[in-house]
Order: sequence, then structure tokens, then C-alpha cells
Amino acid sequence: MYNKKKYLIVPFLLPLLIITAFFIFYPAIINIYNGAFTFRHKLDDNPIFAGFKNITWLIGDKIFWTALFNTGILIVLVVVVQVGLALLLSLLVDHINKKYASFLRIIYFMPIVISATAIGTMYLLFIQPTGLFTKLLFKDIFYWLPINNPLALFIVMAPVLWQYIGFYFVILLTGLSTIPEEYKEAALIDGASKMQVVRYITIPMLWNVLRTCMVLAITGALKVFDLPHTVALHGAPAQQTMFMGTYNYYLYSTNRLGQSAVYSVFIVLVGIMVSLLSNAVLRENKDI
Amino acid sequence: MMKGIKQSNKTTKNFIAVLIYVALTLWALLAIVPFLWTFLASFKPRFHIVVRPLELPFNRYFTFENYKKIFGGSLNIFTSYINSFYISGLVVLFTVTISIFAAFVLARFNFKLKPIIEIVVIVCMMFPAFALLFPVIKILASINMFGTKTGVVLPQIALNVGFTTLLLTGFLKSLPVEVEEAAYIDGAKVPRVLMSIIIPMMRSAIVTSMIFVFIWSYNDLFLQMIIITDEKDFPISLLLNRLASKESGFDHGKMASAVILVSFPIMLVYFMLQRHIIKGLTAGAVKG
Repeated sequence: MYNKKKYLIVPFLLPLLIITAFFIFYPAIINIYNGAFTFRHKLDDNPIFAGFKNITWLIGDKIFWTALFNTGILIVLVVVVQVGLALLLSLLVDHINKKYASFLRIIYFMPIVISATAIGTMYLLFIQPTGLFTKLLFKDIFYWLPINNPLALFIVMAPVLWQYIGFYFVILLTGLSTIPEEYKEAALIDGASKMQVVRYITIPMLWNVLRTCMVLAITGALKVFDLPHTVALHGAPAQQTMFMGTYNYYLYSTNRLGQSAVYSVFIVLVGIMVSLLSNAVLRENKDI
Repeated sequence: MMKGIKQSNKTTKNFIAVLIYVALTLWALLAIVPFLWTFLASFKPRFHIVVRPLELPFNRYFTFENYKKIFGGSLNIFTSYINSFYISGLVVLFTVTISIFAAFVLARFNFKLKPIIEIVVIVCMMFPAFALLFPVIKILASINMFGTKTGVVLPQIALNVGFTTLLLTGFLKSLPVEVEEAAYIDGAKVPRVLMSIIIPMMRSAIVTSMIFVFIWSYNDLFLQMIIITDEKDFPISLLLNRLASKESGFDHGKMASAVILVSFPIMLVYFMLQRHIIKGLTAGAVKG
């Protein structure tokens, strides 16, 4: 039908291609070039050639490694805590009153639509020395500003993990609803316990959805910026809680623009590598 | 003997059922109580938020002072709302229009470069905004858009258009092509078919993508922060960021009321349209 109208392909795709070429692909590619220069300010037209200096500078910077390490920890935590808790909650919801379940779904999902800036500001109200947590709970443990608090990183990560659990919960719930009840019933009649049904029927049948959640959570962890930026500016205290996004902003705002360009390329490469890796490690189950 | 076992089985079962309800309700409270507390705190004097964090504001200390401070502050919140709606309105309009055309081509045509375009769409969807530093600033400066609210619009379209194109393409693929064929046989032209058949058929998916792009654009902090320098152009999340950091000198009351004012429009949209929002986002995730 549409074979005769192929002349439409180019004009209809052109707006998409133009806007992404200018604002995604051009910046991504030009950064490879910019990385070899030293810029004196953001609009510098005559940057000084620096060769590999920016790369060696980054490798020598301690914060570069902190940011990478923290992002790694966040990736592990989003898979274990975010997707794990979401799975637990969605399995439990299967056993309760349907009306209450759909009410819970609305509540669990709500934090996702609220801006990270608002959530971060709210969180600051809790964790400051005069804040709610500090007052009610363990006094100083939740207050993260002292430089030697070993929990600082986890205190900054907590709202990031908290915000998106409802998202994976809803995805998993949709996945659960596609598993035919007959399988579970048959297994129960054959004498399987409820735990066994979950272990040998529900989880394997849910695997592809679970896998989607993990891939989404991992790529989401790489993109995290607004919340840590609001809660802990420039990786406070003492750049301990830096992530890849906040580190790039730190380079940018301290006018290390050549380094920032190299780092932007690095971020893109890490992104490609991590998504290829996570797709390879978490194999799709084609039998379902 | 048998009866005893059955009964104890029943009590264990009831006990587990209660436990499940308690666990699920606890998570619901964890998701909603921070917002409720902040809402209540926004009506309390600054000192009371710190000293009596759990006291309800329904007493003689009830106050609108915090809101007055924000509405009478140096940064005008009304202007910020207008700026935010201006930015997000334009972003929604352009993003969705561009992706309707792109989705039409990707769902209905077969051509050699299609796999490459599909990869472009996915890359755009996963691309983190902070990896655009800093060439995006230079591009915007060269077209005289750096520093203004309009400057945010173009990169935001680029970063959102991947998701909406993917969502709309998936949706259109699931719709039968026969209706369109019949219209062409009757002599209709492509613009007519797009306007009176395809777009009305895709209505629900279009609404979902509009809601999402609006929420993301409204909530975005990073791009707005690096691009907008003129205080007159500050959108709402930038205003909140400013209030939460240096300007307020950590005024708990001001922060609480700012969080409420920023989240309010989004909460309203969410509770009115939660069905569209939850279904739309998860449908894409489970299929993809």
C-alpha cells in the first residue's frame, strides 16, 4: 500500500533527524575533538591544543575514580534493592484484595512523577542537623555533612532508590498479570508449596519482564543527576558522593571544559558498554 | 487431631495474610508520608518545624507565612510558573508532532535505512543530558538562544523525541492498516488520512506521550540550570533549586512550601490522569 508513497519517508523523518543531529549527535561527536583542547571559557573560539593532557588529567584525578566507583555501587544497588523490593512488593500484592491493590499502585507510583529537585529538597528537610530524621532517629548518623561519615554515600543514594521502586513495581505487576493462573493452580494441586510456585513458575515466567526492569534500572543509574545534585552539591561532603553526571557538571562548572569534553565521551562509551554488557549477561528467555 | 492441625494452619495463614497487608501498607506510608509531612510543615512557623516536627499545624500557630515569603520573594513564582508552562508547552507540542510523523514512517514503511533510524531513536532515548556538555551551550549561543528559556526547548525536544517515537511507533504497529487502505482506495490523500484516521486512532498513545513529555520537561533541572542564566526566565524547578540552596539560608518553612508549590500541578495532573500515566509507561516497558 505505502510502497508507492516512499517519497514521504525523507520529509517525515527529517525533523527528527535534524533536531537529534544538532542536539545529540553533533555534541557527542564534537566532544571527541574538543577533548584535545584547553578552553579558557565556555564560548572560547581559540582553544589551546592540549593533546592527551585532558585524558591523563582525568585518570590522575581521584574524584574521577570516586565517581566511577559510586556509580558502580549505585548500579548494584538499583538491581538488588530497587528491582528486588519491587519484585517482593508485586508478589505480595498478588495475595490481597484487588481494590486495595489498585489503590496501592497509585500511591507507590506517585513519587516517580514528582521532580527530583522537589524530592531532594524535601529530603534535605529530613537529613539536616535540625531535620526530622536527625531529631527522631539516631541523631548524627543521618546527618551526612561531617566528612568522615562512612554512610554519606548511602544517605545520598537512598532517595534515588526510593523514588523509582514504584515504577518497577508497576511494570512487574503488569508482567505478573500475563502469567496464566492455570500453571500456578496445577502446581499447587500437585503439592507444590507457595514458595516453590514462586521459585519455579512465577520467577522463570516473569524473567523477561524482570530483565527489562534491571536493564532500565541500570541505564537509569547511569543517568542520575538531579537528585544527588540537589541533596549533595558537588558530591558533598568533600566530593565523596560524586556520580558520573554530577562529576561532569563539576568539571563544567569549575571551567575544566576540555576535561569535561573527554569525560562526556567517556560517559557515552560507558553507557554503550554497560547496556551491551547487561543485555548479554541478562539473557532473554526465548522459550516463554 | 486433624482438626487441630487444620485450625493452626488457618491461623498461620491468617497471620501471614495480615503480615502481607502490614508490609504493603508500610511501603505505601513510606511513599506518601514524606509529602504529607512536608505539606503540613509548610503551614507551620519555621521554628516549630524544627522544634516540634511531629506537631500538626491545626492550632493557633497555623500560618501562611511561608507561602507569603515565596510569593513576595525576590524571585517571582508566578513568572516561574508561566516560564515552566511556556517551555514545557512548546516541548510537548514539537516533540509529539515530530514523533507522530516519524512513527507513521517507522510503523508503515519498509526501507533500507530503517534499522539505523531505529537505533538512532533508541540512542536518543538513553542519552544522558549531562553528556551534552558543553557543545550544546556553544550551539545555542551561535543561534542567540543561550541564557533564555527558549534555549531549553530545543535540547529538551531532542532528548524526549526518542521515547515518544518509540511509544507511538509501537502503538501504530499494533493497529490494522486496512482502514487506511480503504481510505486511499476511496481517493483520500496522505494528509487527510493522517488527520482523520491515523491521529484519531492513536489518540490514547498521543495523550500518554504528551503527559510524559510534559512531566519530564517540567521536572527537568539539569538543562534548565546550565542554559538559563536570566532570572526573569527561571522556570519552577530552577526557582526551587535556588530556594533550597543559598538564598534561603536553610529556611525550613520556605523550603517546605516551595516543594508543595512545585509538586502541586504535577500531583493534580497525576491524580486526574493516573490511569493513562501508569498504563502508558508500563505498556511500553513490558513490550520493549
